[in-house]
Amino acid sequence: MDPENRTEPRTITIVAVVDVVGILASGSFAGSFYLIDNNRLRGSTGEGTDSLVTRVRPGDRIVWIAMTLECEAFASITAVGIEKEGQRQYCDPHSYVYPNTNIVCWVADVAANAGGARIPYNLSFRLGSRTAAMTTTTTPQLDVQD
Amino acid sequence: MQAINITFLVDVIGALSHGTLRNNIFMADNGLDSQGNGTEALITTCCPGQPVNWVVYAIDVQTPVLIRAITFIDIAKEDDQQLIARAFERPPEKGGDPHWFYWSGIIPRSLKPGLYRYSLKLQMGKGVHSTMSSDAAALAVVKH
Amino acid sequence: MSQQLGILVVIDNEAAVVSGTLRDHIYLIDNGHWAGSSGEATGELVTAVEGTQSASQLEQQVLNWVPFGIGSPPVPTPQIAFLQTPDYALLADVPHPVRRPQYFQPRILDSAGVDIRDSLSMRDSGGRVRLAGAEDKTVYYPDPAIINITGEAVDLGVIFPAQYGSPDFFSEGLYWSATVDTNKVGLFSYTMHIRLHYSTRHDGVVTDHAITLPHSAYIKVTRDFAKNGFANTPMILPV
Repeated sequence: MDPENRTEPRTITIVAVVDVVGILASGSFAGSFYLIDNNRLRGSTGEGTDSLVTRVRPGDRIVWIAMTLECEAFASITAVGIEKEGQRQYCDPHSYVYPNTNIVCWVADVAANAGGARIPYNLSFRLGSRTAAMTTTTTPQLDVQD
Repeated sequence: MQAINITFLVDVIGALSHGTLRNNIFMADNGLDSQGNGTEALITTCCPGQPVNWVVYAIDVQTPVLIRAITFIDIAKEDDQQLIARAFERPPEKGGDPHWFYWSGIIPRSLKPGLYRYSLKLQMGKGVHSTMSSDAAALAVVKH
Repeated sequence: MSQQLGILVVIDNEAAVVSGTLRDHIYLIDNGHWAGSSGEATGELVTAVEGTQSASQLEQQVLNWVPFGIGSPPVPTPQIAFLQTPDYALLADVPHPVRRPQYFQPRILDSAGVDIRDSLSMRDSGGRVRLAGAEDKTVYYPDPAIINITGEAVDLGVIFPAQYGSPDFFSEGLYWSATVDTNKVGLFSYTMHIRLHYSTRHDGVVTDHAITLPHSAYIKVTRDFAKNGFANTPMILPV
């Protein structure tokens, strides 16, 4: 690892893998939803579960993307909800569309004054051709280093 | 006698997204004079003594779809001696799992000509919303 | 059942290169959970494959492996979506990268849509400008490539893997697929050989590197006799 990177802000990607058929057939995300990030070496825990705890630092950029297990199935994140009102000042996710495509991801910058906060969030998805979005009920969170 | 193959294609994610097989199932067969090819309401023309096979395919190859049951809706009168007990559903335990089954049979030789509707029950994945039925198809049994 | 099984191979490239192993940094997920697969989203996936001894709803079973690097943009996003005007002109040209060495093609993007290699010069991977410098730095390209599948399952003729091209942009159009001989019942391991790329700048010189790491997972083949669905009346339809 590059020692210079230690204090520089990083982009941390959180991949939300969804089994579209599994979620639609059972009506819930249980057993069909997995979160993985690329920060395990620096302290993230719960990789591959539905309650990932992503370790971040103030100033880091977080990017959420959706990935389906069935390669031709459609899934898209419609919202990243910060559950506690008071924490929205620390982290305010907004959507970003990759230019010339209709593929969406969600991006948030961790505020400089967020040190020490644990920020739980939920994800809402549009799946298949179902018009109503579905929201996760587990507790993934961002764990901000001091 | 030549067997009739009834094939149907299912848009699994479409069916699961909308909770119905309507507009998400497309049936066809290789019989003569069948009506409704390409729709949900296939009427297959067949004769007594003829073998019939049902096969299902998913349009998106990575999605699962299985026939869970085929049940004939209009049960013939009690005094018809050629009547055989109707099929019952199997619970999904190992060995009874739907994917171990194939669906084929022979039209009873003494069956009276007529329209025999059947209910097709499909299972797509596992869960409370995974089974769906379509009652629109039928066998039209004609004399030789 | 005509369902093809898909196995998503999610890899944290940087962590794997730095640790020298894929262990703890690879997450395998398949769409056969409902049919009995276990170990989802860990490195120890056991993919359930079910076969039958005679014609039934089960047809030839097919496995597909799709690699995905955490940190790269979502799979359906084609790389060409990010090309600048001079790059479009280059695409129309016969591909001879050596003729125009000042341009890189194709671009390699991270999940925020920023060219990874920009961080070697002016911008970091989050898209923010920082001081340009020539300090020593390492950049890890997020996309892994499966370059071979070997092991017990292949040696025993349980699976027949090969690499295929596809018109899709995912995995740069390449993926691995295998048919399964479901006559061979049992638990078998297979090994994926995965290549990861990274570049380093040292004393102002950029060098490209690649490392190939193995990882093993399992398939479990089960089988049963096919039965006629019309229960008590296997031959005559219950009309």
